[in-house]
Amino acid sequence: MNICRNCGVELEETMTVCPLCRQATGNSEIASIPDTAGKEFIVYGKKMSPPEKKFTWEIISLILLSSIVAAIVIDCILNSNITWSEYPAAICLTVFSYISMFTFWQQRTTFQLAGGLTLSIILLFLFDLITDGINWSIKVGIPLIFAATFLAAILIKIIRHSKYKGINLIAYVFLGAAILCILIDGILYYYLRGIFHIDWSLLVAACTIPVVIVLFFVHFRMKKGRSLKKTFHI
Amino acid sequence: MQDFTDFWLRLDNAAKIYPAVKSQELTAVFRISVDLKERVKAKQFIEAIQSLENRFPYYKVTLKAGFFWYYLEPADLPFTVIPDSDTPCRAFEKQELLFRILVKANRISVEFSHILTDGTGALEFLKTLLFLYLEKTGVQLPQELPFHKPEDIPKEEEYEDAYNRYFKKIDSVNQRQPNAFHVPFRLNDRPRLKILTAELPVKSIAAKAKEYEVSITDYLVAVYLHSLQELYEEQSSLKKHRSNKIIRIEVPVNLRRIFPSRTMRNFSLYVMPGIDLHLGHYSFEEIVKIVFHQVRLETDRKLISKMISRNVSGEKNLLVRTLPLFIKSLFLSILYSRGTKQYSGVVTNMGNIDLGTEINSLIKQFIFIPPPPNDILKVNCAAAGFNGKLNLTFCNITVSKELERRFLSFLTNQGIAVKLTWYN
Repeated sequence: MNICRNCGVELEETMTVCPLCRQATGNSEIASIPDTAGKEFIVYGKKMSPPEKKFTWEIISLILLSSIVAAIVIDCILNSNITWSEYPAAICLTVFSYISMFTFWQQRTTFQLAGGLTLSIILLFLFDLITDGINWSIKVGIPLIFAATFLAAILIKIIRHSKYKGINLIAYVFLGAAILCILIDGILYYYLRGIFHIDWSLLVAACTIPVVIVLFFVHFRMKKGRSLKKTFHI
Repeated sequence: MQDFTDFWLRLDNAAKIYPAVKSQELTAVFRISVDLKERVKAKQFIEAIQSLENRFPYYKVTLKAGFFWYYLEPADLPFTVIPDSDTPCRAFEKQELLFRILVKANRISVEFSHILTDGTGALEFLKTLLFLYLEKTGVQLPQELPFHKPEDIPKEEEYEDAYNRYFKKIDSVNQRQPNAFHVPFRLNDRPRLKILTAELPVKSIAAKAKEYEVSITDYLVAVYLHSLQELYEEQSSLKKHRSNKIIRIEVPVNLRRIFPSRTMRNFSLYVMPGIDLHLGHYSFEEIVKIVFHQVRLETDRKLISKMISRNVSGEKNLLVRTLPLFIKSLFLSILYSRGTKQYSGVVTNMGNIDLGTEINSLIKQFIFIPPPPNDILKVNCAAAGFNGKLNLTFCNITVSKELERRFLSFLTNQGIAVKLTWYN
């Protein structure tokens, strides 16, 4: 008779794992363990293998590099100097920094983000330095990247800890975008005029808030059914 | 097919107090176990559980806090079974269903939070699970066997709040009972709960009860009161002087017997027979007589209606209803400890469980474990009869087993054979 050593129930002769407590009956390694509902565990969200990651990184890096080269070449042809192309190039360098960190540094997301931030700060600083001396990187580039990374980290944290992943995530992203707009506005205003002031972003935020409220409302209504009565019944 | 999309439940009147008072020790969780003669077969047992999944939507819920009241919300969680290796009647976590199915060797147990149901509801659920399991193992179930068949659609009556159904506004003054005597034993270290089970022949206890012309429950309550009286009297004069001189036992009453209902949620109240030691010592014969008359008197339909009215009126009071939950919970916990102070112990009898000759022959015994007592009450007792045997269970959170010793010694002195058993 095949008996589970843990819960003492009788098992079918063919059972190598107790379906109640998942205790193995023999020494054999079992690949799939049925749960109490009799279903097999399914692994969702298959991750890329290291070679696949490296290949993807190479493709993206090539696209970014060609974009930088193309922008600078066009700028040089038109203006005989590097002017506006600094900005798309800076964006490409930032994207490259984060992609590289996420591809090659297998750490917690917080560390990967911090690594991406550090690398992009270094690259932007050097890029600014070699293109007509230090100009925009310290006053605009680095604060903007810092603000965006910080908000992204908070958003990732919130999304991961959200029990229900639905429309609420869109609401969080909207909220994050509104805050980012305020930060961009503040940083740019300071860079251009030398004083702290928030201008257009307030309008953006004011427009975003009702959308966020509606999204949250719809989410909670859907999550808890159509009735709000249960939450507020007296 | 009923639509359960927006299904949610208000807590019934009896359940309302538990979320406010429950803790890791005072769990408000009780257990009913059935010991089969053969080991549980895992495959068939799981199949039986799976077939129940949609039959009890009112048990597939979790407790949620609303703004004014707690409520029960459907949870997309499977009915799971866990190995029975931990302390019985453990608290449920926030995201868990409010009941669990446990299995160990030849024992199947269900544990329910009182927020969800009472002993009757839990027993009905266990019976259904047991019948389906036996059917899966090849046992031919008798045609007329009454249970909740998986293919039946749950009726609304099964999850009704029967207190509300039978509520009638009755204007009468409720007198506050004086506090009762409580056993003076020191509490165990955590986890405090210790369980003692005893097996008695129903025949001899029924004969003794018949001798006094009372029911088995009355008899057990009288023995409990008598044992508590002994404990009171053996205290020093100073302690006696300081102790409350009322000994009262809370005896739950299944209201379905008085007010017809098929509800699978709570529908029980209690009577509190007791003795007043201000009036001197009581002989056992006197106690039995008092218990018999008090129980008959208090289970009168009109008096029960009055109790329902008192309890439900509180819930319906506008001021109470509009208080935010956290304030309400504070009041409820005060109310709960004040209520517990009014009685010295609990004796709950599930009665005789009979599943028919064929099914009975496959079962060894039923054991009913009441919810762990709080630190005022300290000890409580439950009984369940099956196949000529009465299983008594004492839940004790103190270092002393003196009450149990006196209770069981009294029974042996009365000529009733008592066999102590381990619940493990």
